[in-house]
This record gives sequence, structure tokens and C-alpha cells, in this order.
Amino acid sequence: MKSILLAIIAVCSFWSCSTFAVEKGELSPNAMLTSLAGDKTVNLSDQKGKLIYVDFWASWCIPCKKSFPFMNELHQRFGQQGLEIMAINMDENVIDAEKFLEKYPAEFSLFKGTSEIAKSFNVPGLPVAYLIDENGVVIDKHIGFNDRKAKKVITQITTLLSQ
Amino acid sequence: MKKIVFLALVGFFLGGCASTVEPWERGRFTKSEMQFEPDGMDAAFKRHVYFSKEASSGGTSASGGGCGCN
Repeated sequence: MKSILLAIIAVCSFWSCSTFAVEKGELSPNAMLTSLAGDKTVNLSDQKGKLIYVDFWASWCIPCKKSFPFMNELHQRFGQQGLEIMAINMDENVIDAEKFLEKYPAEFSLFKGTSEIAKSFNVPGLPVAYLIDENGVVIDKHIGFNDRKAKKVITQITTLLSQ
Repeated sequence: MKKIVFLALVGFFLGGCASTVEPWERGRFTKSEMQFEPDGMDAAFKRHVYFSKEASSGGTSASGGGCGCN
């Protein structure tokens, strides 16, 4: 009886345990991403060898209105040098994302997000961006978006691309 | 002991009801129908009418206790 009780308590204790967040220096989780238009599929692990900026966003996320022009700037400035921007949309309805994109057009790759992908990255909020190097290692995680973070991202990308 | 096991089981099953809203699932909270005051202008107008009728102000989100001295 004691062992049953112990087992129940153990299960209850682990019930609320969440998965560990993807932190700096860890390998990026693998994910199969479908483009927002639904016409192509990309495996995140196939992107090894490139510097990747993975951004989770949604139409209702207010800072995303500022991060989109910034990511366009990144794409224009570093796209030729090997930076790949992958923006993963977390909207429930694609229509909301399309309406957002009418106002804030994107020049980079857009993908449909799923709960599984967000859980694998353990997304703490939106927007969140992960800078992943050519070996698939997470260099940094940027939660939220502001001018200070934008400057830091540019410095990091410049340093990584010059190596 | 049976009672403890029973209570633990009840707690375990009730724990399943306490599912959390993930950060990426908060889109519905941002919709206007989910706001206490979806129209700020309309809410301000209603407050004005209310305070005019009551001959007092305050006691809502504004500071002051309705003394009429603000």
C-alpha cells in the first residue's frame, strides 16, 4: 500500500513539471516546418551550415509590429552573407497572420507553427528569437523585442558572420 | 489509508482540469470581446454619466474615495 501511495505522490509531483527551455549553448531542437503558404516543407536540422534566426511571432503580438521591419532589415543586410531568417507564426487562424502581413510585409521565410514546435523550443512568450549557428547550437535567445535587443542581435550576427 | 489513497487519486484527477494556457495560445485574450472595456471612449462616457447621476466620482479605477473634492 505504501508503494502505491509513493507512486501516486511521485506521479502528482511530476505532473506539473515542464520541459526544459532551450538555452544558450544547447543544440537547437529539430522541427519539420511547413511554409505559411503550405507549398514547401523544411527540416530545421537540414539548415546546418547556415546562421539561422528563428523568430516565433503572432498577429496579436504588439512588439512583432516592430520586429518585422527589423527582420526585413536583417534579411537585406545579412541575407547575402548567409543569414537565414525563419519566422514561425503561432496564430490559431492563418487569416489573422495574412491580415498582419498585409500591414507588415515580410521579405524572409514564413512558417506555420504548431504547439509541438513551440513546446520543443519551450517558447516563453511572443516574440522570442533564437540565434542558431552553423552547428545547430543556440547562440542566444531574445525574449521580446526592443531597440536594445535589436542592436545586440546585429552585433552578434556581424561577429558570427565575420568568423 | 484507503481515504488517503482516495484523496490522492481525487487530487490527481482534478489536477488534469488545471491545464495552463501556453504563451502562444493567448491570442483569444487579445480579442475585443475578451476585454472588460472594449471601447475606451464608450467606457469613459458611461463613467461620466454614472458619476453625474451619483454626484460623486472615484471608487472605480481612479484614485479618490468619492468625496467630490477632486
